[in-house]
Amino acid sequence: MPTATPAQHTLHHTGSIVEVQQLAPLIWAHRCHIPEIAASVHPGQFVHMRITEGSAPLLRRPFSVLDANPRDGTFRILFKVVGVGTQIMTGFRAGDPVDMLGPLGSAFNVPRANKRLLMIAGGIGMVPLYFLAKKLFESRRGIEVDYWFGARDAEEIYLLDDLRQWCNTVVPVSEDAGFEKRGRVTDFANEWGSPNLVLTCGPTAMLREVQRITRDMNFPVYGALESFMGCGLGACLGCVLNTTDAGYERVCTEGPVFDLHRLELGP
Amino acid sequence: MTAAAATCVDLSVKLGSLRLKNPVTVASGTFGYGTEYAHVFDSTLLGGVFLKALTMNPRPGNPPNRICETSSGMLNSIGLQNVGIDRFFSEKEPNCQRIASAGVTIFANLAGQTIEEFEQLIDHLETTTAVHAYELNVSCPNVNKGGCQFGQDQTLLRELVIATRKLTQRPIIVKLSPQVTDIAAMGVLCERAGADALSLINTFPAMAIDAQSRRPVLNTIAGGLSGPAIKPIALRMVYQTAQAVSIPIIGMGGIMNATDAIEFLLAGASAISSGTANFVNPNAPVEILRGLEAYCIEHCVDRVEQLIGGLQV
Ligand SMILES: Cc1cc2nc3c(=O)[nH]c(=O)nc-3n(C[C@H](O)[C@H](O)[C@H](O)COP(=O)(O)OP(=O)(O)OC[C@H]3O[C@@H](n4cnc5c(N)ncnc54)[C@H](O)[C@@H]3O)c2cc1C
Ligand SMILES: Cc1cc2nc3c(=O)[nH]c(=O)nc-3n(C[C@H](O)[C@H](O)[C@H](O)COP(=O)(O)O)c2cc1C
Ligand code: FES
Repeated sequence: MPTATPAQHTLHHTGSIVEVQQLAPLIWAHRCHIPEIAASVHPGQFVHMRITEGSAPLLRRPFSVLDANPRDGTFRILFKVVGVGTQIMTGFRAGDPVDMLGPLGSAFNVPRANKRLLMIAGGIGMVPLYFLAKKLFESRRGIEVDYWFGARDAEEIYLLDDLRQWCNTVVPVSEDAGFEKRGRVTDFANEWGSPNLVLTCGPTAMLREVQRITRDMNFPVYGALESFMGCGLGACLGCVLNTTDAGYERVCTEGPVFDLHRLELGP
Repeated sequence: MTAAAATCVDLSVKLGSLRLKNPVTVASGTFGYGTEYAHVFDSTLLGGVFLKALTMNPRPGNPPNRICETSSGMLNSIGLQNVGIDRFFSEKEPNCQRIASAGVTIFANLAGQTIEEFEQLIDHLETTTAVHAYELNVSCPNVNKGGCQFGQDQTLLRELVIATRKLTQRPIIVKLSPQVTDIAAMGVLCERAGADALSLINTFPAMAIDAQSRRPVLNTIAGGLSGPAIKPIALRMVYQTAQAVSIPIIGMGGIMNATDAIEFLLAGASAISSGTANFVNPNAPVEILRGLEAYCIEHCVDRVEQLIGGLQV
């Protein structure tokens, strides 16, 4: 008779916020102390965070991890204030408790053979790619990264100094006149060179463009996707996206990192 | 009450011919097939698990967006996505067997589109000992051709209960739709047709609109409302139905903590399910269980069954 095996390890953690930074009017970064997550999270993975003890908002909110320091047991999330949950999060202070599930979902995988990477970040889509650029630099694998960072306003482009330490080139692009390159990142596809692999994260409209361009240019591309989430654990089937070859897949479990060419991103 | 007596609360409850080791279960569609929460808590602590809806053929489900948050609740339109009965046996059944062997009662939630499909599902599931009872999902408001008409059409509902009752020794539980004028009358109808228990309630048809884009938030426009927003209605429905029937009721709808669960027991439920709560706090079922035990100790209740229908009016 099979016997019950208790949970091997838990993905449900409590910890605390140790540092709160405001990087731009609507952009905040919280450093959290949860050693289990800091020790095991990979770029692309996310945490699913309880915002309040009450019911406004009720559901958890998912956030990608910006970077992690296994030595002191901390990691950061970076978020943009877009609604009720993220507004409440701006009131969090060092010392406040946090309740998180994580690390969840799939991570970016950069095969050994890929030496020239192109990263295309849109807005807060910079988060998982920042973590990946940092990790690749620290791995000393001799990988060259071109990091394109697009946003509507120059104000929404930050942490460039960090990125410049780790990347071959960092190209900020905004729709206002804040940087040399004005427009959307995808307007400059002819300057993207010939990478072995493209990694991207950002709004769906941008991902759709990146999908089209990389298909035309025949570049392999992986993207970190978003969707509304319930459980974050694969149970509710609420977070799915449609794939071309396997029907609906869960962003929280099969994703958030997907081969972008497999996804139906709609018109 | 002494500490020794404190550990002696009898948490088990009778549900028709079944005895659950405790009244805390997880609602269908919120707990997958029992493996998804393995890294969060030990599901063998639960009194019961209601599996995600099953259909004969695999169903892809609805296009996204499938869920969104509303005031104190959420909408879902999953569209009964499931692997179908064959893959249930090859992929999911072994784990159900594992949980079942730890004393957890397993309820298969059946979502046939016809009486024949319900019958076929039971035929297949009779071959496994991993399932102890059948919950007929006659109330899923999501799929046009799905359960909706069974839950709302008295003749059809009676026919379904009679037909499925004949096929098995295992309890038949009808999960009622709240989308009826008189839910107690539907409960009575099911009892007379031979149902062994009732689950209530399923979600309420509801919708959300994004004023910025002027579009519905869900792809299907409407979905099912669950969570704390529906709790007072669920509680009233459980109470009224419990007054009208003598078969046991599994109560659910917005149960977030032990206090909510106790309220449902007092209203007449013999067991409870947490659903949306599992998304908010994956540890909710275990916390409900511990809280229930603590309440019993505090109130000198030595058998949790003493709480069932204990509302003083
Ligand atoms: C895997 C994953 C990783 C993410 N990583 C980050 C991150 O690193 N930084 C960050 O700022 N945000 C990230 N997000 C998005 C973040 O979860 C949402 O911005 C947040 O949930 C909004 O909560 P809110 O209560 O403030 O907004 P709400 O009040 O819930 O909504 C405000 C507006 O945002 C829209 N919205 C809310 N959630 C989502 C969503 N999941 N997808 C699309 N639209 C949404 C709503 O439609 C509404 O228009 C991530 C999402 C996912 C799925
Ligand atoms: C995401 C989701 C999926 C659900 N899927 C099913 C299902 O497959 N079959 C079913 O009978 N009920 C389903 N339900 C309804 C729940 O089992 C439960 O009746 C309802 O959510 C009310 O309880 P709650 O407020 O605690 O969530 C689902 C609910 C949610 C939120
Ligand atoms: S959020 Fe529940 S399955 Fe992905």
